[in-house]
Amino acid sequence: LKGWTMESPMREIDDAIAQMSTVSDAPGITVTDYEDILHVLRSQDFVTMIPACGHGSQWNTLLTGDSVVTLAGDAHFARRRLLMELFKKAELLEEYEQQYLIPAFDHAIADLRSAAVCEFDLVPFVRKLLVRVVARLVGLDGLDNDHRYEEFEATMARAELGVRSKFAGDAPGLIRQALEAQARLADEYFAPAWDRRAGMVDAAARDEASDAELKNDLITLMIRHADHYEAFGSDAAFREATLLLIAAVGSTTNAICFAVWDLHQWLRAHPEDEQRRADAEFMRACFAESLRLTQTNTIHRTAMADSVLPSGLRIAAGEVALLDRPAGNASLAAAAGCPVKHDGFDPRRGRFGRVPQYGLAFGGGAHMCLGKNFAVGAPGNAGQSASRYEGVGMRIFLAIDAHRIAPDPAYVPDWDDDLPDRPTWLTLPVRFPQEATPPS
Amino acid sequence: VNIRIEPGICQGTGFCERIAPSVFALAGAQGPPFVRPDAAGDIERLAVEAEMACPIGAISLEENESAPPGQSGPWAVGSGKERMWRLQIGT
Repeated sequence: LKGWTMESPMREIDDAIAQMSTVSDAPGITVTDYEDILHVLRSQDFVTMIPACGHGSQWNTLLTGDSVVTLAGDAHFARRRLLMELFKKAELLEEYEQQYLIPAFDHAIADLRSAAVCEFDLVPFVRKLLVRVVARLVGLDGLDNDHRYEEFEATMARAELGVRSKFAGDAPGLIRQALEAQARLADEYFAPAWDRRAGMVDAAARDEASDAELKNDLITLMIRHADHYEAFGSDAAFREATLLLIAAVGSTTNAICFAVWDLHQWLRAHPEDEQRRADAEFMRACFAESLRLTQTNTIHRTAMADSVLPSGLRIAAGEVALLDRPAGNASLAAAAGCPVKHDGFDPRRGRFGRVPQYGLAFGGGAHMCLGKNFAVGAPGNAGQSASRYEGVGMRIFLAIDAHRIAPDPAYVPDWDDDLPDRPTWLTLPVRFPQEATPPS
Repeated sequence: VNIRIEPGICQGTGFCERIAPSVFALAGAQGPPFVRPDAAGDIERLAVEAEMACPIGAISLEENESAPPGQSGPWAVGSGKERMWRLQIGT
């Protein structure tokens, strides 16, 4: 791997975009039953996406192709096995929270107090905290410098719009902007971090440094497994880093903002639960319940063979299964005999049998979200002692509420709560009572 | 240390069997998984790898239960979807 410069000149990328724009959407069959959805997610007869499968997903291959979310079969297994260490190793998950997140949160709160800030926007607040942690995970240096962080954040936001562009009307335009942003991320942030770590790996190989001195981060991991990544082209490692960066920051920010919003909407209608905010189990239920409602975008899978799902629904080879997560969660609730309206936030609901309360929020099967433990911890792990991890998303949600930071009651979001897919929070004005003194 | 498998939440990715075929096996193409009666090799290391690799979290290592008296291989606890497999490693 010879550095991070984008392999394809922009004109070639423009050609690729033009060519892709002529690809019409393949036929799609909507799958609404939970067992059917789980069957598709588990089955090796369905793959995550192929470039010509339509439904907009081909755009993302330019930005995140050959990353862990797009690979299938043996290549996916090998990649996932490599990456698991960063996302499931307990001591690393603890380190992300204890050494990076909590100090960053305390620092941010101290800044708000010293400036006597009583109102602020929760979206950039949360994003900055997450970038601090994810920079550690990926292996980016120097983002604790505010000026450098602001530049990085603005560039990353443009790349993020491209990754999400399959949901947008002007996908080619967004993709082009995103590719330019991605190239800038490569040159200004990844390349220096890569060179530093490559030097450390070389030193370890010459016995001039011990393996223990090497960083345990994504870039170091990719350098140490260069053979694996080179098989996918010299840009593959960079596309992987882009994906993990954007997924970990963007999705988690949105999930946290919705959890804060949902909690306070619930408390307005159910003031008797006010005291339960001190109960970590109640708060975990709130976060899980909000995740179930928030992570609702349709999952696409392409059938590689004729298939019959448990309900009898038939999907032919080449057709695209559109996995409708809200409908799947609703059928899950019905099958579990859940008496509560399926699509409303209800932290009292509990698990659906053996299925966690977040339902299909993290997908399922071999492609279940790699960052699940990063976001919500591991079952039975959280809260056993102060040193254990909650999951970064859950930890931020708890800390926000512990400081009694709450949505500005005068704020009315401009999105339609009846839409099937929840939008991305662009702003969430909150109030911060300076007098609140939560426990450490 | 105990290996604990929860077939009720397993989604049959088969990652455990691919990583540690001497310890784990699937009953059929999509599971459920079980601990092989003749589990062999560096079982604890393999079990830790399988635990890390399982996307669902159906495999865990615990320290809270000893094998039943006279039990040398894996044993099942519960029945149906609540059934769990356990295997004691060491003492």
